[in-house]
Amino acid sequence: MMDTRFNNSEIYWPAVVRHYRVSAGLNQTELANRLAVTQTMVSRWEAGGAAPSRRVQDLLFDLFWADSATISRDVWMQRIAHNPCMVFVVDAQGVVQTASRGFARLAGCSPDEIAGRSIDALFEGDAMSLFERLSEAGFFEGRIAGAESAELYIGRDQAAGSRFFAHGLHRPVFMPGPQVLWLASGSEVTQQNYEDVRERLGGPSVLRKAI
Amino acid sequence: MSKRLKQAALAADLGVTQAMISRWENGESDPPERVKRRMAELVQDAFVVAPAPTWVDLVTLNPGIEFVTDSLGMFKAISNGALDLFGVGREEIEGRQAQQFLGGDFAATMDQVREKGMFQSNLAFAQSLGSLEINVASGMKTVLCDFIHWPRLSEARTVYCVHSGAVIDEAAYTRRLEERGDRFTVRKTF
Repeated sequence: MMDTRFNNSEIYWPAVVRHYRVSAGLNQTELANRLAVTQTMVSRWEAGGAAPSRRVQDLLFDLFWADSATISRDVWMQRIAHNPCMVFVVDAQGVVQTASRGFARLAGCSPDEIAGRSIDALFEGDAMSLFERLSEAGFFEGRIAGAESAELYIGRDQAAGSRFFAHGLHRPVFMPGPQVLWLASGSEVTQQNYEDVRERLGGPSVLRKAI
Repeated sequence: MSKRLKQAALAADLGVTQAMISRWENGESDPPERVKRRMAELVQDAFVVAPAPTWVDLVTLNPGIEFVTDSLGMFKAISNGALDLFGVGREEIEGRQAQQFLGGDFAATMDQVREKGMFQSNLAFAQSLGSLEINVASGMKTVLCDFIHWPRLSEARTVYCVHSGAVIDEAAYTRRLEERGDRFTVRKTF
């Protein structure tokens, strides 16, 4: 069910505010103090009665970041390219923002050849349907806390000739804009392992709703 | 009221007064659409929502090779992928000293990461290439690895180091060593 009440933004603030607050272990008053607003305001955002102001939207996303990182988001983004594991970041339009060296190796090309291209231009089948499932569930609106999945990647274009099974973990990253990006990390696995994961998940993926 | 919530708590959540809640419960008036929607969400959430996983929880689920150490070199979390590589169960090594199990070039790398100020927030990240000697009860094995080491904050806001790595072959090792010029490289914060 799409929520179209806040036309100025695609983010679903009730989920984002509550999810941040609960993961940080704060009550409404404590979060209100951090954001320099009243507790009533926080309660209205969480109930969907109002959307936070632009100042608070940015602040909230910055707090999300500051709670787990010592480095800036730019540095983090650059660092992903050096990661020897499978990692990539995709935006709401399905465009790869950055890809790790580990992921590029699996795709048979360099991280630079993947970044800036859309996921369905690079891979057939599973990768695109995962993006669509996440998207439909409101991942890019901040409605999803995380997901686990198993995919078969079949490369095309830049990634032509590559074919691998992967077991992935997915979570939202809260970036300036404000926008939610999809951070995928995982590992190449054997076909047997891929089938085992799908059986355990009861399908290609399991999505966990934000609180 | 299956959640044993006080009227006041529910009122705060919904952004209305406690008196309003009491009137709805007594059937004197009907909640507005917005509140009905939120109530429906709350009822559904009671069944499908689990507490938000922390990033440390997510490391343990990671099918790739990833583990977290603190400034004292203790394992704080280890991914499923790393446990497979090490060939041990989580309970055997989590909470113990990493260098008790991991040797080879990796032991020196952990010291360098610490000396370069990882735990004082002086590093954006570090990269290392080299042997990883895995020394567990089931035996010892050595693999060549490429690792990235980067800082994250624990819930208590102390700096932890996340090590994400991949096993590589000799050809890749040689090629990457030439690219980087050194087995161990760091990127400082400003």
